[in-house]
Amino acid sequence: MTDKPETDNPTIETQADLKDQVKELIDNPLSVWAVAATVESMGIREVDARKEFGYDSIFDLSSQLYEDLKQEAYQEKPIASGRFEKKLNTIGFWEQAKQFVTYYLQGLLFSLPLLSQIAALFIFRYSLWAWLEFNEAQATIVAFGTITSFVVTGGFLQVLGHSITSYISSDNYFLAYQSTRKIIKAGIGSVLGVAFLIIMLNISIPFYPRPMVLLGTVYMILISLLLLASGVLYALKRRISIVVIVVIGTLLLVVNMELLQLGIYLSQWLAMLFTTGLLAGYASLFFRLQIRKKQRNIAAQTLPDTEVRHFINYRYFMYGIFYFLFVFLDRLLAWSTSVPPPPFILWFNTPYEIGMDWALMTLVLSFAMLEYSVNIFSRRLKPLQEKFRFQQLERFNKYFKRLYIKQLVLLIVTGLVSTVITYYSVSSLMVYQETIPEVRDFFANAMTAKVFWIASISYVFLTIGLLHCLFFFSLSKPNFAMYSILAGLVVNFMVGYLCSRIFALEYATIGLLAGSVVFAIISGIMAHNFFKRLDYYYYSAF
Amino acid sequence: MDQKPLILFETEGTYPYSGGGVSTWSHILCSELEEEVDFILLPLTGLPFVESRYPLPSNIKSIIHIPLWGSAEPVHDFDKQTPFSEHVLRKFRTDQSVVRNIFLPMFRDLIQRVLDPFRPAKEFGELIYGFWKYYQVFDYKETLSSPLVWAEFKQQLKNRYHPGKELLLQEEPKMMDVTFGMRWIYHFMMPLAVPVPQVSATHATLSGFPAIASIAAKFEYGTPMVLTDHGVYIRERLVNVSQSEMSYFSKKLLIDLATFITRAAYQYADIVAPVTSVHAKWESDFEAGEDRIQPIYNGVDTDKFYPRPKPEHTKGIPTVVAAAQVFRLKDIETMIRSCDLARREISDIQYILYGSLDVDETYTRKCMELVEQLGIEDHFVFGGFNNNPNLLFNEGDISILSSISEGFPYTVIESMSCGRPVVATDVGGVSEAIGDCGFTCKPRDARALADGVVKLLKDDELRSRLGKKARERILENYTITESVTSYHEVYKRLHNQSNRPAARDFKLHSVTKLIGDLEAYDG
Repeated sequence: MTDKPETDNPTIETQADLKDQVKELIDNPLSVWAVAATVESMGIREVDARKEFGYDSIFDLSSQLYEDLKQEAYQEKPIASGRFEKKLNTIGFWEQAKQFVTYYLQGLLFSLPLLSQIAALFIFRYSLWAWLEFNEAQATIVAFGTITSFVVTGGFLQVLGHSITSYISSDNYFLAYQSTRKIIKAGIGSVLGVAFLIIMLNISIPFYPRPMVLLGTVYMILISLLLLASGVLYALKRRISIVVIVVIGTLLLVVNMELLQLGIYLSQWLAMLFTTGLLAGYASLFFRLQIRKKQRNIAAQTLPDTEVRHFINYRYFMYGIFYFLFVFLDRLLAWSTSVPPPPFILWFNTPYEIGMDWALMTLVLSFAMLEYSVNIFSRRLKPLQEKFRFQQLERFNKYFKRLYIKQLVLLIVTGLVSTVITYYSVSSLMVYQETIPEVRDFFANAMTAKVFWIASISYVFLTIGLLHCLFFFSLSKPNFAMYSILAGLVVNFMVGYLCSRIFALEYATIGLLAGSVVFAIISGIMAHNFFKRLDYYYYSAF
Repeated sequence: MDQKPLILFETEGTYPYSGGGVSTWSHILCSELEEEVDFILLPLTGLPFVESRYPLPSNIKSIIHIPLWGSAEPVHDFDKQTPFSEHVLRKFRTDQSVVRNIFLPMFRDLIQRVLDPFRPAKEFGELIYGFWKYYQVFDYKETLSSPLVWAEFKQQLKNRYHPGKELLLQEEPKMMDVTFGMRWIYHFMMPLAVPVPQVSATHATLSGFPAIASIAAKFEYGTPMVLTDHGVYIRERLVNVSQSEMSYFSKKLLIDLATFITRAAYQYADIVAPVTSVHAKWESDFEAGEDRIQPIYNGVDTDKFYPRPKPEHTKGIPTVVAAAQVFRLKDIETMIRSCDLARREISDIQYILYGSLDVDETYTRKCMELVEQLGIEDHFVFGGFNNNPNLLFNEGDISILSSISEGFPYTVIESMSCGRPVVATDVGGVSEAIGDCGFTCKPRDARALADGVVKLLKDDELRSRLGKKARERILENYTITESVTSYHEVYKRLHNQSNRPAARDFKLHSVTKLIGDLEAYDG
């Protein structure tokens, strides 16, 4: 049971009482003025300073209190010395290990939708937009739709990620939702616009038979919608939900194919539409619930003007487009040349595509590592800013430089190990060559392995570049990312074009390799500068 | 000259987007002068997403809203007249050589003076004007996010916080302090980039950051400047910042910034018009020349606030009314303790406290717990926000104010206008307002407050006499007409005088150089 409180306030009878109460309120005083204001705020008036404490004014009384408090502070508190603690990172081994496992697993979740589709291909021979039974013409046009959708939506996906992340970092789900709606609307508009342009272009300069173009356009639109919807949930970090919804969508595809027997096109289109609907519905519900839970007052909340939004976002948008162009450019170069020349402007090349898909699997482990690296970087920045003394500024930058180099080494090792593991695990299937025809087909062409190796090495460099870009994005420096991927893209195109035309189509991957190396080097030079002056980049990330 | 004066009216965290005393005063002033004076509002707020809490009168011609936080391109937010393309051009124009050669010398002078804010205040005004001129040509955000600016800031701090200097460990800045320090400068000094219209006079409602626009206008056009002190901005900052949980360096920097801006504002104000004369020492110590201090007291609408009989629910119950938001400076704890003492003398006494309970929820909880611990739940009522201030004082026999700091509180003069005598702590302009029509006592003295309450409630004749006298005192000295007319007179006088831009013989070489550089740049 607590005692009944005193009815009277605690009294201030002596100067010592007053000093103690001032000390309790402001501790080590900033100035005589700060003491005077505090004394006044405690209800002491000029008349009290004279009558009760014997000073001419509050200022005189405060001067004395200031002197006394400062003296006490110097007696009681440690003096700053030029010596600094040797060890500043107090995160223990187990804590670090826990962080690694947590973020790495989160990173693996990123690839799960992709893995679920590969699994579907193995089990059912089809996935949401692929089918092992497609002939080359069908595969060509579906690939055309797929690549176009990634390139067209790439900018919007990047802007979605940036915009949603920045609004929800301040718990503003209302504006995050509003901006998402605007970006998605613009994205859908652009997708439909590009679809219309493709059809019109094909009418004036026929590059594919009309039914093929229509088919490709349908795939392009549906895949784009799926990408945009999943982009929203990625930005909201609802990764498990994405996996679950994609699996549900795939199950519907199986129902369409096996039970309803709707045929591959209709089955895939319905499944994609259904998946997109679920993704969008879930995102919308999630936003609404968060707004209701966290944001009672949404009065007068408006997005910046259109031109301001475009100015803020254009670098993210360009990066997104450049990135997906970069990733698919080698295919476009390889598929547009062959001996004899391809029947149409782009023609699917199965051994090449298999090599690329095989290499793609090496990215799963590396992408998870990226998730880990960028998370520990962002999570350590603020605590260590709070911990490092200003005089240790250089040490602060060096600490993060070392952290960056560690991440770089980890990423390279992961990339190389992942390449070797992927190679040997897939190669081990060769023993089934005689019994399983698909395995025989897989290894039938030497081009596949060649493409795998060059693309896998390229991907090691690509992920290095991506690591740098994630650092840049985390401190709002999209320029660095945009210029380095642009440089990589130009080199990718020039080298890939020359190699695929001079040597053979599979050497388009040399372009990918050269572009990735350039991307990694240019972004690396920027990263070097970034970490050297990290204190500045952290300051200017407003 | 137009017939009507046009006033640039500068606020921070108050009118028209928040409630409270200063907002009420601002709204009364603007609405009462609807026919006579036009206003352009320049409110500073924390975030961009705000809505007016008041119906804006027709004489508010426009609003230049400056949100200090939460905007990626803040200057465009408050400078809508300039097309965004021009802002983008300014960004491209702001290259590193411009920052190095034109901006940096002045920035160096600024930081030296912010860190040492008792240097001559005249120089501060020159710097403010220099920056304002610069931001008419170059971009605010681009400039302050330059690595050169950051390097200069660090250099100035290194000069002060080097290993040889004897300091307490607690006083030495951490990396985060320095990062946030420079970011604060970026946010708080945003009015430096505001487009300043040519007006009859500027009127800052506090001696803080909104007054930057007044200083710029004074240099550029010679616009005269009025400054109204409700509390004393610098004193309030000293109290709030000193008692906050921030690091020593951060607190010191915030106070230094506030000192810098307060001294500059007082230095350049033509008229400092506090709502009470009791703060004159603070004002003159921070550069408001005594000859420029001309108090203009708050006034109350006596047609709205007039004596009425008590309503049914308080009839027959000795009732003490308080109108105060629940936070520390109102010292509600002392009010509660006075209730505990008074109920021992008057067993059926009741205190009703009207005012928002959301301002400081921790403190509100503490007060509610105190009521519970003292067992006076039947005597002390938290009435929450009341939308009818003109009726609430009439619910009581008397009113009470227990603040430990005040300007010239509306609650006192409104109660007096309703014929309800006041028992109050003697802080700020309270004694000046009450005169001999109520009781004042030392702050934090619950017993003295209770004595005043008991005396008035027990003596009907005394209460009635003081109530009448209070109403007469208000009618004579503190009516809204009196207050508004005083401002109208000031506005008219400033509107009719001819103005010359402030002298251009700058003391600071960096400012002289900048003006020359800008002219050369324009040329």
